[in-house]
Amino acid sequence: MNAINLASNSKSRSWRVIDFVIAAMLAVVLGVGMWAYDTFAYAPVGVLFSAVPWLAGLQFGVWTLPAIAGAMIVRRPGAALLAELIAASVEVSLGNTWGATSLYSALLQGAAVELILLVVLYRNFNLLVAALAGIAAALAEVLVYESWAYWAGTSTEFLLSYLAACMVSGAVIAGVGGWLLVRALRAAGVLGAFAK
Amino acid sequence: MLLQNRAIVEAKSLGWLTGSDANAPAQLLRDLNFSIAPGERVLLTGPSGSGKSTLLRALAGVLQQTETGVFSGELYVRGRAGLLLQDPANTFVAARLGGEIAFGPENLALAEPEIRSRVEACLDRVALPYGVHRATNELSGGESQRMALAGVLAMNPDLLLLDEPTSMLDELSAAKVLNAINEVLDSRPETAAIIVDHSAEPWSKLATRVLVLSAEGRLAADLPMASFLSDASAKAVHLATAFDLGYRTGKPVGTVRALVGPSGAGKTTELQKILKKLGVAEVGWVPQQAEFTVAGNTVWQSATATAKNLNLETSLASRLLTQLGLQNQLQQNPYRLSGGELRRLALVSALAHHPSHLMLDEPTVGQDAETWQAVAGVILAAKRAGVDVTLATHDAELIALADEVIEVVPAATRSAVPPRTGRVAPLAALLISMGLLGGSFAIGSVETGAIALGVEAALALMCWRILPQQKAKRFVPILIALASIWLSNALFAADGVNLQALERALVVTLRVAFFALPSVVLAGALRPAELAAALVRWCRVPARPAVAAAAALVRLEFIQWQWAAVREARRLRGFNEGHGPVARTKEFMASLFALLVQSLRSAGELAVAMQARGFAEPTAKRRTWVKF
Repeated sequence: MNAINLASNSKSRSWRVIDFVIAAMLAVVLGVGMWAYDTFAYAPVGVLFSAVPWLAGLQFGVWTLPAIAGAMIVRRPGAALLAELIAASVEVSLGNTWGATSLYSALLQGAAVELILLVVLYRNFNLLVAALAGIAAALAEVLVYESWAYWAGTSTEFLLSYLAACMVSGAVIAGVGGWLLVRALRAAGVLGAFAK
Repeated sequence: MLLQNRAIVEAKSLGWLTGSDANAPAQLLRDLNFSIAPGERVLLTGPSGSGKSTLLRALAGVLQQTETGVFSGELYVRGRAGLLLQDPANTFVAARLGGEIAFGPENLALAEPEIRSRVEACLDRVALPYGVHRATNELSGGESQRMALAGVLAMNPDLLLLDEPTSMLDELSAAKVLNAINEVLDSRPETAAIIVDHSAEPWSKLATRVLVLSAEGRLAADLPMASFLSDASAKAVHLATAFDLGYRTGKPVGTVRALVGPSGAGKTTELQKILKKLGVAEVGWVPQQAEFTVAGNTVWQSATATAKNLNLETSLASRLLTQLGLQNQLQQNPYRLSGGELRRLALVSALAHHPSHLMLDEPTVGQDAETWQAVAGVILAAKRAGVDVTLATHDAELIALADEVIEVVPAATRSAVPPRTGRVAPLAALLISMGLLGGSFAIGSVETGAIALGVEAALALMCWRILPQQKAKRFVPILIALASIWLSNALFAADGVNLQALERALVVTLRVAFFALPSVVLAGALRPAELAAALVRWCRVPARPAVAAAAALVRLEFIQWQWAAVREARRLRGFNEGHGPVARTKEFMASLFALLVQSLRSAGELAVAMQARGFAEPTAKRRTWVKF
């Protein structure tokens, strides 16, 4: 005979089933959103910014949103990385610009968000932390990957301008946007099992 | 030990209180005392919102998964409980039938031969005529529910908990599921069962005892099935409630047309064909998933959205909300309504702009008697107001209200040729593209770049048959990106625009082309669910996140279908009128948010089903992985 313990354990640091499932489902839907962005918006926006190409960095946050939203909901180590990797694999399997290499970007961005959350010991999930996480993801993506893969021939001024655009976008679209998205989802009543 | 007479379930003053914030209606169980003996079959019934499902989830030990609340009293369950939920579409975890049934035993880390024999036995038990390799998304609703039952049985439960297992199904499929449940329980006399349902009739032979919960979550009655059935007041009376829509079209009287036919015959497709021809102002649309029509954050905003989009008065909405009993919930969040209330809100939302056509898709599936009466009442009121009603339904009592019955015959299915997926393993695709990324460093001049790309192209031609097929348009974004990379590197070089800079830009672009073009081809081989499985097997990635990822990813097709349904529902509520990029972006984001809300709602159900099948057991971390 087992006594069923109905006490809530949402404060525990270990992962519950709902944590895995919500992170994964959120990521699949946002992955579809990222794919739609790549397919319908990426080229027109590129043309729009063709005179000042580094402004294209202002789109960066779109691709880091799953990491930050996932972390803000689940609030456990690894949530950002899991959500970002799943979202990227959906984006890739539906067909996006960069194909399989998007998964390395996802790994870098997810890890950067985890790093910021580690600094605050996974205790703070406010707007500032979200924005900083977005900026960290931009730094990781541009410095660790894009600087040598895409922009090896450009001047330092160009690279820094591009980096700044990515950081702004990471903070605003991914950070503030992710934070607002989670707030709206909470208002819609679908995050009942998660801490406020 | 509180246990009396070897009872399998014992509840002592069991209570459960949720809803700390004023917005959420408290879901309550109060002071429940009962015990259930091994082999006993019990029907658990009561009005909507009385906590039937809550109690069932408490018994399955998964209540704290989707709710935070305060528990009081004591609850004991002996042995293993198996939980079957209402909608099988929310609860499957695997791409293939075998993997789906094996999920529970895998979490218990049983040996592979034992799992395979359980899978075969359970497939047989629920009379599914397919092999273990059958794709789970090719099953009909009734077959899916039998698959879900087999998945529960594979855990070898001592207590079977069934949450309205037939309410989402048409009569024929429901009968088959009922049959399977009967046979399973006949063959397992020691297994106790608790069945939640609005109606007692289907379970009158199976269940010998009835527990009735009151609207306040108390145990109102605990009596033998025979006495319950003889109590006339307990029976559901299907009589349409009288409504008056409060407006009239030009026609003296409307026509009610019912589209009937077996599941999958294309009734919904027929409805959509009619919908495409009608303007927003002419038609009110209630899809089977009523939540797709929700707009805004309150009942009032949702009810009036179409009228406001069409610049009409909102007084009709107010009248209809009162008639359908939602007048006290105007500021409530629509997603927090019960299923029946949400359906009534969808009816109000469809009529508040006084359309001349009302279109309903399976409006009574999964609904209790009260909501059935509201739906039927609205159909009859619409007819009196001169509104033409078209509905797709399996419900014989609803069909009886129709003036015309149109049989939809299944169209001969043309088997579409699926695109070639190739024979490159997902992990191999990932490794190749990683290798190319590293290898691109070796490209130092235009010549080496051109040669490397030439070699790649030749290899691609030689391996053409094993490569996944990619549509030519998939390469458009990467070609644009390559052009922009060349331009940026050429125009923004450190030493200004000169011949050397142009050449260096070309080298950078060739490098990117070298790793990115094959990556786009190989993306077709990165089937995400298989990739997750491969990562666990070969790279020792933790099993549980990978399994959860795979379970979400098998829903990708379903999510794409939901996306189309959400867009359609929003268009028919007048939200798609904008043309500029700003308006279209706003609408895109609103649709994506609606889709996200739907998916996260079903994620709660999925998590409950996964936990009930052992996903939270300590053994799940070193779970078995059987390939089907």
